[in-house]
Amino acid sequence: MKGFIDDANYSVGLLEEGTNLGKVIDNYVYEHTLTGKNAFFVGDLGKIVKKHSQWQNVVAQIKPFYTVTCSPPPAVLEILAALGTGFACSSKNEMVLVQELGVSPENIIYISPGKQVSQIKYAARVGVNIMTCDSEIELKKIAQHHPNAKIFGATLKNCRHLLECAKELDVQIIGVKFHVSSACKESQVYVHALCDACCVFDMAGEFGFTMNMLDIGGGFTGTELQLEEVNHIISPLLDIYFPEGSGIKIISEPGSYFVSSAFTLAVNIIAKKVAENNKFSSGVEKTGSDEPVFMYYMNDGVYGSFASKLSEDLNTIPEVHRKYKEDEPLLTSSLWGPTCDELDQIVESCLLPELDVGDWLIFDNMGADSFHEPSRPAIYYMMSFNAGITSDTMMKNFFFAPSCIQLSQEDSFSMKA
Amino acid sequence: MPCIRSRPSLYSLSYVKRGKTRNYLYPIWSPYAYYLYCYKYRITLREKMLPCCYKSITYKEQEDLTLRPQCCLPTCWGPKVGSSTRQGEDHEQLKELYWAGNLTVLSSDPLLPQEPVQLDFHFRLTPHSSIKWHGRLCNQQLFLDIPDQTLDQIDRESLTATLQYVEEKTNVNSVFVNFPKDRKDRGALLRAFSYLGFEVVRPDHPAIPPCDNVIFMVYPLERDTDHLAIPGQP
Repeated sequence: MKGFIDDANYSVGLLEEGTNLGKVIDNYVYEHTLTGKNAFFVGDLGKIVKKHSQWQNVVAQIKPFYTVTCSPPPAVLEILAALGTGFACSSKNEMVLVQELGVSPENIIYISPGKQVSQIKYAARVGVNIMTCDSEIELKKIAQHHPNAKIFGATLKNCRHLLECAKELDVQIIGVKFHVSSACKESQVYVHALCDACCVFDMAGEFGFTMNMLDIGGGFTGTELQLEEVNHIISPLLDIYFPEGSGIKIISEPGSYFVSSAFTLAVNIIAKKVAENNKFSSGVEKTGSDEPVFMYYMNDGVYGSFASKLSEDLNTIPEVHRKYKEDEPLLTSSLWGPTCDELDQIVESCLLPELDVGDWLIFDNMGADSFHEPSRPAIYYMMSFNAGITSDTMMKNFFFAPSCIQLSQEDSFSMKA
Repeated sequence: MPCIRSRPSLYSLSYVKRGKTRNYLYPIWSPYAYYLYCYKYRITLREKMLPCCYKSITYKEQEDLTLRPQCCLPTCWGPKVGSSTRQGEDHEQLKELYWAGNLTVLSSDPLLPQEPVQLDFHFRLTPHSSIKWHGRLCNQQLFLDIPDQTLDQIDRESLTATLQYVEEKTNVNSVFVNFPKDRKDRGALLRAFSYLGFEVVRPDHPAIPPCDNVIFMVYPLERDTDHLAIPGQP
């Protein structure tokens, strides 16, 4: 499973005045060209800080619990812990990672849909009490192994049945979760979901449970606009159904929201093939010209950092690293990973100037779901600054120049029922 | 450019065929329902063209002859593939190993203790229908075939019940699922299984048999290690 124990020591470069991400990448490309041209990530932790402050500006009343699976490198977790977010873990390894950073168990929720008994027992031992549950089987497992569990239900169907079971098994239910995927953030979906949630709260009240938590899930893409839209839709509803004074905490599980824009991946072309124009699948116009089309094989693919391409969640076009002239012709190209697998295709068709083996391609927004063991590319961290953001010294393992980043103190989020 | 051949072209055995044929000894939902095959072949083509110029083109490709059921068997099966004693068993001859709630687990009798075992999980959805997960247990690894139905029809509880049985009653430490790469709902399947904790396996991973047209995902079972210290505590 995912665990980054060997990343325990890493350094974060500070961006000086006058440098930017592009120059940092240039620097590493140059270094790597001399030493084996392995793919690498550059992570700008300052972007994570920026996203957090954006969150606080738009939806401050909703506490974010970062889904660790999305992007588990320790630097990311550490900076989010310093910023005061909670963490949503789905395995024992993740809980261990987060706890090693000193996060208290009240700020951790356990959200795996298929919980293994050993994981539940571990959660019980370390005091991670808040977890999701959406089936009777799981309810029984939790009741058996974790007597202090506080559960919030993650499904709205059969809820009456689940509430009955929970009552019988003497398990505490404290809230409800729903999730709206990023593809579908229309207002109606949220309206329905919040109404349903309210019904479940009432139902649970009948059974004698005290509900104090509402989880609105994740699926935020990271743009401020989308977050504002969502806030615009839900805050009037929240005021009606779950007003401030009622003691109900609203939380959320953003994942790629925080990290997607922070990471850039640089890959190297390891092979090149010229193909016939007509071999492309439909969707590409056959120009009828005898312009060659190129297939480039890179040293990272869907079985590595581009895993989200396999589940069709990724649409990305690279930038070419080397400088090319304005008038260089752009040719139809496809990009493939290093295995000879037919599924290992990153980009089906795009226009790129003619490239050679050894050239570098840069992919933006590669922070989400890109860090898979084994043989993950190296990650270089840096911190870009926006005026007025400073940090406190809770971050261990960071090698900094003297300046400090300091954030406003946040009240800790208490989960006592 | 026109050419006049003085001799007819020479060919040698030239055949490559991929595909699958139905193995009627098994019902259609069984993992043994189809054979996959490909042949060794070579083409040699010579043409002689006038005036007195000689051109020969040789194609040579080598592929191994394989004849194996649809869901690639782990190499631990070895020479038992195709043996009549094993193929003769269909699911009715499996004996019931465990039954609780909606889940029934059936297993075949291994002829020797360390042999791989067929393990089937039948989950009752309604009094008249059930969903079946066929599996092969070998060396603490369980290989499961995803039922042929669409994703919506596959009840998630059937899989979680199966995984719970595997976690509590066996010492399996990895559960592999596989499905054909050309399934139309491949993306949805990958997302659904990732959500449950499965990860895609690289095609050249040593634990999985070499199989071109199937994608594997693995669910690692975290076996309890009570003796480990909890971080942050002395």
